[in-house]
Amino acid sequence: MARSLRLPALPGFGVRGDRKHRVDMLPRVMVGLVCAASTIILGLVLMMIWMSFYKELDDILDFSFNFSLVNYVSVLTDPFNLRVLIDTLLFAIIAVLVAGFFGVPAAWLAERTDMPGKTALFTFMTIGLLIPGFTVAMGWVFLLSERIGIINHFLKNLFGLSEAPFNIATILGMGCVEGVALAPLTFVMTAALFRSMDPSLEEASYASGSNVLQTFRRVTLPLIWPGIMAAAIYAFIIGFAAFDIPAIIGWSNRIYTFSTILYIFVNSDSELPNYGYAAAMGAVMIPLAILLSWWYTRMQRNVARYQVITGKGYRPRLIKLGRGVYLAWGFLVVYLCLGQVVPMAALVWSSLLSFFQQPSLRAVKSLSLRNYEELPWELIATGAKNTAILVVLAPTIVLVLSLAFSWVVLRSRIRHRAIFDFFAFLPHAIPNIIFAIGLLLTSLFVFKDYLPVYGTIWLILIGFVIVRLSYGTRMMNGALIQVHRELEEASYISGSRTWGVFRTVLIPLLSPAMMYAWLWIALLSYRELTMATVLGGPESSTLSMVVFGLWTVGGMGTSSALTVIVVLCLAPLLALYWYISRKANVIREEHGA
Amino acid sequence: MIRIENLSLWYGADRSLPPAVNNLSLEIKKGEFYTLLGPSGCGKTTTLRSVAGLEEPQLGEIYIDDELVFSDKKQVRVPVYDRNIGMVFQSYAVWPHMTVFNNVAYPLKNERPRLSQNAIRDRVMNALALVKLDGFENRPAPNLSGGQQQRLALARALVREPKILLLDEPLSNLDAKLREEMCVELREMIKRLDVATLYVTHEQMEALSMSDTIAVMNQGDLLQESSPLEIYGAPRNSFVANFIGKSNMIAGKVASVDPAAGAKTCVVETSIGNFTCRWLDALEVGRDVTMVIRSEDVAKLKPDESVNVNGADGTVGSVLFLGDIFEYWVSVGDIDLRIKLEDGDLSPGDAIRLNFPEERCLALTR
Ligand SMILES: Nc1ncnc2c1ncn2[C@@H]1O[C@H](COP(=O)(O)OP(=O)(O)OP(=O)(O)O)[C@@H](O)[C@H]1O
Ligand SMILES: [Mg+2]
Repeated sequence: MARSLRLPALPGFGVRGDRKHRVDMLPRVMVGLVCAASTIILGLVLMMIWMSFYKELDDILDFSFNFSLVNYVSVLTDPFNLRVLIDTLLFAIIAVLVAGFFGVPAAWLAERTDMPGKTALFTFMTIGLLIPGFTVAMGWVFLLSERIGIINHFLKNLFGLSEAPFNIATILGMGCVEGVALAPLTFVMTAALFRSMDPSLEEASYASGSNVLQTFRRVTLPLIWPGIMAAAIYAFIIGFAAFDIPAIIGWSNRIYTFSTILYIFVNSDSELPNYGYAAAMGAVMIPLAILLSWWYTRMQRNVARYQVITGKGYRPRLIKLGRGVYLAWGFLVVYLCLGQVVPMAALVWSSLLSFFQQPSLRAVKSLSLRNYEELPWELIATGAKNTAILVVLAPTIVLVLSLAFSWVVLRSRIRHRAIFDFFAFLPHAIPNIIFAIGLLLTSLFVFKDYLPVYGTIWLILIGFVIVRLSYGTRMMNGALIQVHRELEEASYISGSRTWGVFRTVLIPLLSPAMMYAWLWIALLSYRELTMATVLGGPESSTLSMVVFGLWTVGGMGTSSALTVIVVLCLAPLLALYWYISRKANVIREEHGA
Repeated sequence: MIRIENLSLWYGADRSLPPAVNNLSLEIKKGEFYTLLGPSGCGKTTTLRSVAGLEEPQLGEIYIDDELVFSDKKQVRVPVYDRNIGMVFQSYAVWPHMTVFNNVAYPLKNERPRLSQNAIRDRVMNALALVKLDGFENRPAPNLSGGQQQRLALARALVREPKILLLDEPLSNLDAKLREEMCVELREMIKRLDVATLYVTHEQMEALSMSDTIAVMNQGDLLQESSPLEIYGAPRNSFVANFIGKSNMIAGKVASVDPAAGAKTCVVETSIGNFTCRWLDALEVGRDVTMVIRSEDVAKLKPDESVNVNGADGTVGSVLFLGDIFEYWVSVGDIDLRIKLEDGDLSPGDAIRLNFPEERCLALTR
């Protein structure tokens, strides 16, 4: 055993028959945790692949070996699936383009120009990152749906049109909404790129007589292109797997994407859930997912090649916008309106009406708080309780696991340790709904008696932990790499075991990054809808599920009202997030990292 | 205090590749200042880390204070945290989130049975006074200068009064002047504390001025282990000769051996003439050897002066003024020699007559 788990990463390992020396427990615990989590992740994927070979539900229940490729044949030959696949691809591509259209220029303005009001821009973008996607989707339904869309009505009246000019419930419409919702993510990712690019490269271009635009086109853009591509692939992966926006907007018009159709296969009201078929469909997507994440990692490596480590106190030359300031803020205001203000306003409007009306004097007179009074408070109480459990426990568990993963991958000397990093990343590459279904099937068929988690909040918790692990490990890897190894070794030399090293050296040094990651995962858990809807039951519904439930049964007013409440509840969390992320930044700068 | 026996360490799994440390044995006595010297990548840090327990060698045994702490055969692996050693890392590894006091107090807090607060305070203050950092105890550690951080690292290494001290190029981050000061301070301190010290460096001046014993390493092998004087004056092979001080190496062949018993000299035939050299290991006629002479040992003769043996004529190629001395490149036949002289009255192109004093010429096997 001492061969594979070598010193010093696991001090104390290999001390044999020697009672004199203290044993180092923590490394073994961490290796155990990491192995367990990896087994679960891998198990879920394998579970789904296994399921996909069964035609009949009964066969799965009996654990019989009636394997067949029927599911694959029907998945691959059904023309409807091909359409859904093409629609999903189109949807994701449109979303990426729209997100890039708004996100990249905004990032450039924030990092490379002297535009005033950058703090405000960052604040709005952070809010945009945190507002649940279904909120924006609902808002846009009120604005642009064929039947009730406010803008459609307005234009119809204005020009005397007989038909509504826009229809949000199309791939194009949904893609645009998804894109607007993804723009803050693109913004954050590309802003980091602009920040880390060597400014002297641009300066050299100015010195050679190029103007701002030429420099941007010939120098800046080619240099950050790999980074932008990486951000685009990242956004594409999210867009491809998106559930909430296509579900809110598309279902009514029978427009489906990959995640929504999968959801229908396992949650259909009219027929028995077709698990085998859904599993086959998920399994077919896995190679694509792995291909995308491979591409993403490759792009990321290219980014690293261009990046420069800059010392303290370096400030890139900021481009003077002059009059362009108005244009810049005009552009940003358009984005903020499309992404946040207008849909939120539409939501608030709808929440104040007991039935949806177009804005008019009469409608204003009938505004009331009836919807708020009529909210199903008992359901909401359950949802709030469950959401609270998730918001507290999911990030905590993710963080503990991520620390263990990062330590084992980066600090231990276990053979093949890099594979654990891959396992931790897998949940990001594969659409969340696939993991949700794998988990659902496992809890239904494998663990049904031993571990009755089906229909409880704990199943959702497991799901959340698994899919956020990729984010947590990315954050912890990044932070741990920055800690000089000798700082820990000095602690071992001073007589600490691994637990002591964590307690006195690693955790204090990593705490800014840990706080930041914790809060971010907490906020994501707060807004999550996809996994919760697949895994949740009546007892385990979360706040977002309650909203979604109200919406799908046609309670537009009440679901709007609840959404407004949900968003308002974000405010204190948001303030905390803002405070901590600023503190984390300050600390990072102070340490010159 | 430290004894290493037949230590070998491979970083990769493939044992057919050359190891980072190859069959190394050494012994360091109490209070001895022992230096590992060698070019970059020769395995010095690896050896040091093996003693500390931060790397696990594949073969060999390590004793600290006569206690077996590592043995591949007996399956003994005392974990790092139980070895009770002091170590100063190349990066100092001063914990940035603690004050100076807490950095030094850290090892004491791991002592069992627990020490009282007062005892910890006293010992920390003593250690800080030892490295002349008293008065700084409440400073955040990152707010110290490079030299102060290095002394802080030393205080932290010494506070537990370890029996052995491991130092990995602790002076390499300092500027030249500070380094000289620290050299002296460090040696005095270690002598005062009487602790066995294993010191790693690739700076020969540091090694020569501070050590009791120097071990020269190359590519994982320990080539020679001697006192500074001996290693300078009597290098065992051409690598050591070249690594310590600037030596001239001239390839040749043993032409004849002085038959007198105890004479230990031979005549080496080279492309620029025959020279009488000393030897350290007995040589036979016909053996390929390298004749080594340090640049400061070559003497200049007056143009009309001549010597019976070990003379040569050359032409000055270039002159370098080094402050206290002039360094000349002189071509003798097809060989360029580096020569240090006190007078700078020669210029390129001048003829020069040289003498290689017999007792300064060494014949080393290749
Ligand atoms: N973690 C490691 N993995 C693989 N090879 C290593 C590792 N650490 C060191 N090596 C290799 O082992 C050899 C010895 O390295 P070591 O660090 O002991 O050199 P050193 O003598 O301390 O050099 P320097 O003076 O540059 O610090 C080198 O060839 C090095 O590349
Ligand atoms: Mg080294």
